[in-house]
Amino acid sequence: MNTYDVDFSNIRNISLGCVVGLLLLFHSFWIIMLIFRVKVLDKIIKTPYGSSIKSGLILWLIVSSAISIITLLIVFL
Amino acid sequence: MIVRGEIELPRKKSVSLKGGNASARLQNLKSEGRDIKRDTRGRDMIFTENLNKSQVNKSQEALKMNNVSTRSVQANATIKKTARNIKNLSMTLGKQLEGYKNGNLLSRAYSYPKNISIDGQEPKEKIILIFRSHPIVVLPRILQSLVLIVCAIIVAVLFKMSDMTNLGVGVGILLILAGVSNFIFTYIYWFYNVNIITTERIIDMDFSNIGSYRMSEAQIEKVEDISVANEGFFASMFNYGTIYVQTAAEEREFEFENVAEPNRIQDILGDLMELKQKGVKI
Repeated sequence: MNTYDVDFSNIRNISLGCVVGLLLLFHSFWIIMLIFRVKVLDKIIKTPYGSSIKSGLILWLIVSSAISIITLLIVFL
Repeated sequence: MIVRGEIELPRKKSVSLKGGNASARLQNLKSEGRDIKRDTRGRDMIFTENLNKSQVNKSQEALKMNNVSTRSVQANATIKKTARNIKNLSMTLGKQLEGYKNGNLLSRAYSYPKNISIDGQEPKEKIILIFRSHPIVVLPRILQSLVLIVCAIIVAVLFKMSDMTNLGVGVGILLILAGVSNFIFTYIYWFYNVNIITTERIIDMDFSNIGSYRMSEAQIEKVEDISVANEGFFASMFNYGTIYVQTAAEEREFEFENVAEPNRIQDILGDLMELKQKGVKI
């Protein structure tokens, strides 16, 4: 009868890493939703700050996505 | 024959009606030998006189003339009083709005804002005041963000202690990103949770969460009642509260939540409402 050594700590790390990855994905999706919401609100109340807010959010989306990808690489590699 | 007429006396006897003082005029009539009996009920003086037929006609004509002149005096007085009221209201409104003139679009209240327009705004419609909730109201959300960032550090340290450094970094960064995003959302939430008073209408914009927003508006003429609720320790301390506006429009009740200096906004709305009811173009 063959026996297999299973490294449970590795499985735990991978599953926790998946949860973190999903949450980071959800975070990016949430920011995209916020950008669309601001776009709608800016049409209702036009202010000079509306476009700045949108640009800021897009910048934050790019930065946070980059951080998320780096984080996932650190977790899994 | 008895003729019964009414002359409305002024509040003060020293104020004269057109053509002379009412009491003096009655005394003159008495001195002419006319049989006049008087009876005062409140502001009205009721008099009776024994007359013959021709005297009756004369008296009735005189009475008509007297009524007409009294009415015109009353109308003039009312017009003057209304004009004075409108002037006072406009001055009070102007003074109240002056206090918010030095703000900007990021202030909690800003009167006659520039570079801002609303969807469906008519060319003649001007924005009088734009106001938001008191910044202290968003303090719990800012604290939430700070707690998330502090938690990130604690989690990273705990994971490192249990020899899961990489995962600790992952969770820590996730919490930091969540904290920063929560802070950004709090700012956007505060910025777009805005209440606007224009020359024509009131607008309440509620941006409660990422999935929904609500915009209600009503014509100023349809505003029926404005009340203010200042409840709680912080509300009393920082002078903010909720303004409830009852209207005859489709949206029956407006809530301007956690507005700074709610009594001042209530006064502004009240004055505007009164001016609109008097048909004044603002």
